[in-house]
Amino acid sequence: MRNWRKTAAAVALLAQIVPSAGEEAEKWSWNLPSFLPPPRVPADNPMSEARFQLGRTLFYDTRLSGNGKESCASCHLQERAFTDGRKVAIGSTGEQTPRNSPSIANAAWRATLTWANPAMVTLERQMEGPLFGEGPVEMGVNDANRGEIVARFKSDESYRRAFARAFPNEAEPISFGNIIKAIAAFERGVISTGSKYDLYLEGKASLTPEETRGKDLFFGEKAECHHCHGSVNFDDQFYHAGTREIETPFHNTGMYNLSGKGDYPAPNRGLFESTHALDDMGKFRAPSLRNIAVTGPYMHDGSVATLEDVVDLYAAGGRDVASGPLAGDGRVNPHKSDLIVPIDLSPQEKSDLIAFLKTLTDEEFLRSPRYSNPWAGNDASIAKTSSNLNSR
Amino acid sequence: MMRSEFFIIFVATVAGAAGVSAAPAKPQAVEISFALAADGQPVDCGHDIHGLGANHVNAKLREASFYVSDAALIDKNGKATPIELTRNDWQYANVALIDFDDKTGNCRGTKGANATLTGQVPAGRYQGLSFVIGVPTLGKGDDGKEVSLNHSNFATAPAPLDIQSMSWSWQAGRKFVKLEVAPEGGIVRPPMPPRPPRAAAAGSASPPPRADAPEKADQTPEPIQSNADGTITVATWMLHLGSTGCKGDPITGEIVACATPNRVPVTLARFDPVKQRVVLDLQSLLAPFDLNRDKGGATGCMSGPTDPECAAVFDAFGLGAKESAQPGEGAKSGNVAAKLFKVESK
Repeated sequence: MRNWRKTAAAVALLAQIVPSAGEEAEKWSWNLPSFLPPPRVPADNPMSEARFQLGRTLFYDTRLSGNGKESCASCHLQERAFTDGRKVAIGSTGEQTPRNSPSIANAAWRATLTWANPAMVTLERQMEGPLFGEGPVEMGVNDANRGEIVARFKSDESYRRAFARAFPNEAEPISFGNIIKAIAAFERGVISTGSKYDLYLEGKASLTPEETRGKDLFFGEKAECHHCHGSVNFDDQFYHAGTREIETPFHNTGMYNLSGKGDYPAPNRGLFESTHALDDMGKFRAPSLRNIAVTGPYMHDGSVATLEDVVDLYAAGGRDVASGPLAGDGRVNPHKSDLIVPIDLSPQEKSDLIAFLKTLTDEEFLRSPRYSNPWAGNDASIAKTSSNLNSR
Repeated sequence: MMRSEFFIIFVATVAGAAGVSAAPAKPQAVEISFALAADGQPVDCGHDIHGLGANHVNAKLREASFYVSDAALIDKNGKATPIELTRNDWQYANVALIDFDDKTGNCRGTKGANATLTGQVPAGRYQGLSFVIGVPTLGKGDDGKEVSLNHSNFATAPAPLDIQSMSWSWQAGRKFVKLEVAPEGGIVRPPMPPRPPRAAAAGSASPPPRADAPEKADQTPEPIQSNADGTITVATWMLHLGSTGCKGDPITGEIVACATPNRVPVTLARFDPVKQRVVLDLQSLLAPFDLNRDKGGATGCMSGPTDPECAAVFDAFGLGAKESAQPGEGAKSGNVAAKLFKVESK
């Protein structure tokens, strides 16, 4: 009884001070290095620290899946730059997705999301796939359990407070719409800009001779990596708040050539799955290479195990699958990008390139407490989370 | 004896009728009832369907729902007068969800069902009905302002656009039609796509495999059976029709265009809502298909132009490959899809 009174008093106190004192405390600041302009943020989902922290807690909470077995973090692990080390992701009910889990680092600057879908232009929309998708089931949220899942958060006092802070002035802040907004806000705030290469550009680190040769190959006209990986995010769909026009290119890199007709295996036919235009067969978005050394296995279907194999594939101008049901020489795929041609790379040059790619790892990002699991070591300890959510 | 025209009776109040002779027609209630059938037999969740498809197989209904928009009554001059739909949990912004699956009997789907479209039209003399199967890109919200409909976020959209099983997240829109049947004996289909080749082993940059491999498989995914000849047998034949090839604008965050909108106009030249109802005939739709055999792609048709089953589905809806390939609002004529519907006495 005494405890109840104390809690009630504390809640009453919070209710008085939070709206005025809280707003100032929760203002968002991007805090970005000079080479990275602020990202575009949807007008209906402004950033705030409260929203970011709520999103972080939800991102790591398995209660967000239908059967309580999977969270967003199950396929997006911080120590792997928010990828999962698997060839393809596995949903909460055990189903495999067709695709390799992409990193969420710097996703706020990505014009389209997922591997090849021109309709996925916001994190809010993209999230509907893993949350609600039926083929395959990932998080397994559906019409039958949606209400129950929202109720899980409504019945949790710390979440009630966190939603109220993240979505002030809303009568019913705990809803799937706001769950999505909060996670999107967290993802927009997951920023990796501290790689050795970044530090080198700022004059705070130096590259080894090997790394320097690799950098020159990467940005030079021999290896030509920069055509598709040339932005500050090392991709080619970089956009930001000031972008007025943007191209969203997708590329066929000659990984498959089923029956010699240029086909990729369904349902992984790239942009073709969306547009059904033959010319879009096998075209995928060039992923960011930030933290690439820790995000293997590689490619849309995780079918390339190591960075060495990736470099070999590009040096060969594609991949020749010699036998089996997927046999075909991807190097002569008729839909292959003109930029993917055989490159005469010596073993030394290949290892130089890989040395450079490894400078793109942001070690601090992989360990930063700011992006870490707030539930770690506390199982379902709500107390710890609530202090995380409210300590600022 | 069927009347060829029907009246929506104009009831003027004494005061209203007194002064002005050309007073605007007072809106009157109209109700359009829908039903499901297969070659004359009523179809519902509680009974097996007999003789479905080209192979006349018995089947269970799993799901049957479709969105209806732009409903209008047609007068003898062919003029269409829009029906202003009543706002309720099944109707929003002149879009209605007709839903025959209610989780009872053989059906999956959501609780509750709705077979009626309710609204108002100006009193008048009408003889036909037209509507579109599908959800428009834009409409007018409750406050009269323009709102996004097909591509709205279902998690925040008003009912009935909030039904997740009718959302189509990877196409960023809605399933306009969801029809799923389970034929007796299942559906034999080509093997699942093979897994990608094992990449060459060795190499040092590969992260170590994860230790926490999941031990979670509490649902039995399809297939229900693997066959000796490499084919597999699955349980459910599925038709999902919706807009495909949609493209977003990263600058605005909006969906800007869909290469194949796949909205289906339907015109029923003679229809009396008081005495008749609109019956979707599953057999008209499924007649081309051996429902025990799928040739590839999705089991059934999920609007993929290269899916072997989709050509006949598009034909039935009047979404010929030609029209379908062009940007626009779907089929040109409402007469092709009209053949899928029968007008019956209530």
